Amino acid sequence: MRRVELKRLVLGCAAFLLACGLSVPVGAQEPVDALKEQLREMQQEMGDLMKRIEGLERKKAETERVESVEQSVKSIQESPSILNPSIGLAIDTTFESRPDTDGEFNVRSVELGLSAEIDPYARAYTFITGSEGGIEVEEAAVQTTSLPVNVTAGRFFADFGRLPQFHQHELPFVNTPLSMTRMDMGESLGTGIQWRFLFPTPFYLALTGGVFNEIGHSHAHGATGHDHEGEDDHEGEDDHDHEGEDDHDHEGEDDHDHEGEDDHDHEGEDDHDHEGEDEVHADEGGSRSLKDLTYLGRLHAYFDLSETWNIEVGSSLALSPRTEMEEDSRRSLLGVDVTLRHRPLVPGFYEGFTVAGEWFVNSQDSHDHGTTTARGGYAYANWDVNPELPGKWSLGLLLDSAPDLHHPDDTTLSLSPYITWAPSEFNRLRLQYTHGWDDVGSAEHDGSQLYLQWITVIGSHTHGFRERR
Amino acid sequence: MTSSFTRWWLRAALTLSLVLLLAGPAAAQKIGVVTTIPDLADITRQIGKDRVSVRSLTLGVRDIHSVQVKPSMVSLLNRADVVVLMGLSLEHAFLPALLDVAANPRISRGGIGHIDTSSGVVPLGPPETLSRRGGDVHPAGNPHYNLDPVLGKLIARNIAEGLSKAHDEHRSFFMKNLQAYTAELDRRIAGWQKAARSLDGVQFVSYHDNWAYFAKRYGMRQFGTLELAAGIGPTPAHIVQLVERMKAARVPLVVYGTYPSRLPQRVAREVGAAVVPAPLYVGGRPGVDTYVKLIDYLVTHVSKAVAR
Ligand SMILES: [Zn+2]
Repeated sequence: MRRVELKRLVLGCAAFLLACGLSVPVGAQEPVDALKEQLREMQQEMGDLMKRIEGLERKKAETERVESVEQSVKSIQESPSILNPSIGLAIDTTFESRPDTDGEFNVRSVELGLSAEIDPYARAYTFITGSEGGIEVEEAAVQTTSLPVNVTAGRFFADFGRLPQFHQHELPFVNTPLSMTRMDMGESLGTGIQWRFLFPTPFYLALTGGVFNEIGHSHAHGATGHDHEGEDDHEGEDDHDHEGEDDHDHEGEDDHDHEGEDDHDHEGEDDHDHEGEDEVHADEGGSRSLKDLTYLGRLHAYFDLSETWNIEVGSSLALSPRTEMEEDSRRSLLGVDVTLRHRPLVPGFYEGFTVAGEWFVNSQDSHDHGTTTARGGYAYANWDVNPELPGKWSLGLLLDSAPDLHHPDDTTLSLSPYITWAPSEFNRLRLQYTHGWDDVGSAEHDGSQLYLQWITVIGSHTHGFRERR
Repeated sequence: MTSSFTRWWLRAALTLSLVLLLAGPAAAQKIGVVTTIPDLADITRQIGKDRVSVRSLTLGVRDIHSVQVKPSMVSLLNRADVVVLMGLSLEHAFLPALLDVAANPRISRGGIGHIDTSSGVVPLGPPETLSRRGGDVHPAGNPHYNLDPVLGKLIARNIAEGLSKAHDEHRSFFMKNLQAYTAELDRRIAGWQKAARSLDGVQFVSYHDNWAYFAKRYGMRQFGTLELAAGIGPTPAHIVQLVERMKAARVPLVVYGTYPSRLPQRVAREVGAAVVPAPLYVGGRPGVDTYVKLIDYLVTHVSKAVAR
C-alpha cells in the first residue's frame, strides 16, 4: 500500500518538474540546457528509484508467499485433524501372579482411539477396545463444544464419580478397585445422553444430568436392550420426572413382565409425563419404558486452596427405577468422591502428592427381599518423586473395601502398594503388590497377588479433561 | 430409605443450582482476558491497560510442559472474552482439552477471541522427523519464542490486533498503547543489545531447549541440553557424556529455569561452569513481574555470569 503511494509521489514530482521545464521561456537557452540536464539526471534517478521500488514489491510479495506457506504448514502441523482424525493406540499388558494362577501374561486391552472436530460446534470420538474377550466399541460419542451446556450423546463414560470415568489403563494403579467393579461402576460406561452445565460461579461448579440405558460395565456384556436406537429421544426429560417417581415408590407394583410393556396401566402411577413417552416406545415394539432407564445426576466442585493445594469434591447419583438384574427391583447408587492434591512450587525430590477416595452406597429395593444397602469404596495416596533417575516416578498405596451387593456384611478388603515408572509420557511400567482379605468367597482376591503392568501409547494422546490426574 | 435419600439429593442439587443461577455475578465491565503464560498476561496489560482484566492459567515458576489441568481453568475460560496463547503447540497438552469443555465458542480455535501470538514467528528447530524419538513437546518447532524481546514486539502487535478485532470500539486505544509499548521495547532492546555484547559466541547448556530464541538474538551457541530430548528427562549416560564434551569444549555456562536445581548445579560444578537459575517466564523469580524485567534479568544475570 505504502509503496503505491510512494510511486504516485515520484510520478507526481516528475510531472511537476516536467511542467516546470516546459514553462521555461524560450529565450533563455542556457538555463534551459542546464534544466534539461537536471531533468535527465532526475529521470535517471527516478528510473533507478522505480526499479528499486519494483524490486522491493517483488520481494514483499515473495515474503508474503513464504509467510502464507509457513502459515499453512503450521496449521497443518497443529491440527492434523482437518485432514484426518487424530489416532492413538494404547496397549496394556500385564504379568499377574494370583492365588488362582501362578503367573500369566495378559494383553488386557488394545485400545484404538479416534477423535476429530466435526465442525465448529461439535467433536466426535471413539475408542475401540480389543481384549481377550473380543472386540468392543467402548466409546463412540458426539460432544458439543460451543453450546453453553456440554451435551454428550452416544456410548461413553457417564459423569459418575471420578475414577469410574477413567479408561482402565489411565488408572493410577493396576486394577480397577473391586469396590467399583462390584458396584457395577467398574467403568461408568453407558449409552445415552448427558448434559453438563457450568455455573457462573467464581469457583468451578458443574451440574450434570443424564439418561442412559444403564450405567456400568457389567451390563455391557449382559442382557438385552443394548442395540435399541432412539433412546436419545429422552433428552427433553428432566430430573423432575424421576423425582415424581420417587414419590410413588413401588406402590401397587405387582407386574411379572418387564420387557417392552407399558406398565403404567397396572402400576398405579399417575405420572403424566410418562404416559405419552411410554406410548411412543410401545409403538416401537420391544423397547423399554422410561422406568427401565437409568438417570444420572452429578454435582462437582473444585477449589484452589492455594497455589499449591487444591481440592475437588463430587457427589453422583444413578437411579434405575427398575433394573434388569432382578425382577421388580429398584436401584440407586450414590457416590461421593474427594481428591486433594499438592504440588510444590519448587520441586525437589518431592514433586507432588494426591490423596483421593470414593465412597459408594448401593441400595436395591426389591419386592421379595426388601431393601439391601451395600457400602464400599476405596482410597489411595500417590507421591510423585524425583530420585534423579530417568523418567518420572511415583509411589502409591491403595486401600479398597468391596462389599457383596447381596450380602453387604461380607466384604473383600485389600491393600496394594505400587510403584510407577514412566520413562516418558507414553510409556509406563508399574509394579503392584496386593494383599486381599476375602469373606465373599472369591478366591482370586484372597491372599497375595503380584502384578507387573506395561502401558504404551502411540499416536495421539492428550489427557482429556475427564482423565486428569 | 433409598427414596428419601434420593429425594434429598435431588432437592439439594436443584436448590443449589437455582440459588447459584439467580445469584450469578453481575456482568463485568472490563474485557476478560485469559492467557496461557504470565508473559502474555503482562503484555496484554500493557496494551489493554485498565480496559482489560487479565488472568494467566499458569505461574511463571511452573514448567509449561507439565501443566496440571485444573477445573478452575475451565471456569476462567468459560467466562473469558479473549484467550491469548503462544501457539506452536506449546499449550497442546492442556489447552485444547480445556477449550473443549469450557463451552465458550468465542475463544475456541477460529473464534474471534482466540489470539495466537505466534502469527509471523518463524519457528526455530522444526522437527526433522515426525517421530517421538526426539521427544514429544516441540512438534511444531521450538515454541519458546517469548525470550526474544524482538519477538516480544511481535507478540504485542499480535495481541493489540487480536484485541482490536474482538473489540473494535477500543481499537485506537489499543493501537496507541501498542505504539508506546513498542517504543519502550525498542529503547530497551537497544540497551540490551549493548549489555549482551559479551554473550556473543558464548556456548551454554540449558536444562530444556527454552533458550533458542534468546541465544539467536544475542549470538549465543547452545551446546546441549541436560534432558535427553525435548520432554524426555536426563539419563545418567547422557549426563556423563555431556559433561565430558562440555569439559573438552570448555563450555562456560549452565542455565536452568523452572527445573530442579540439583542436576544443573552438579554439572556446572563438575565442568567448572557458571550456573544461572534464570527465570523462563514473568514471575519466574521474585521481582520479575513484567516482561521487560524478565528480559532485563536474563541479559543482566547471564552477562554477569559469563563475565565472571
Ligand atoms: Zn519446551
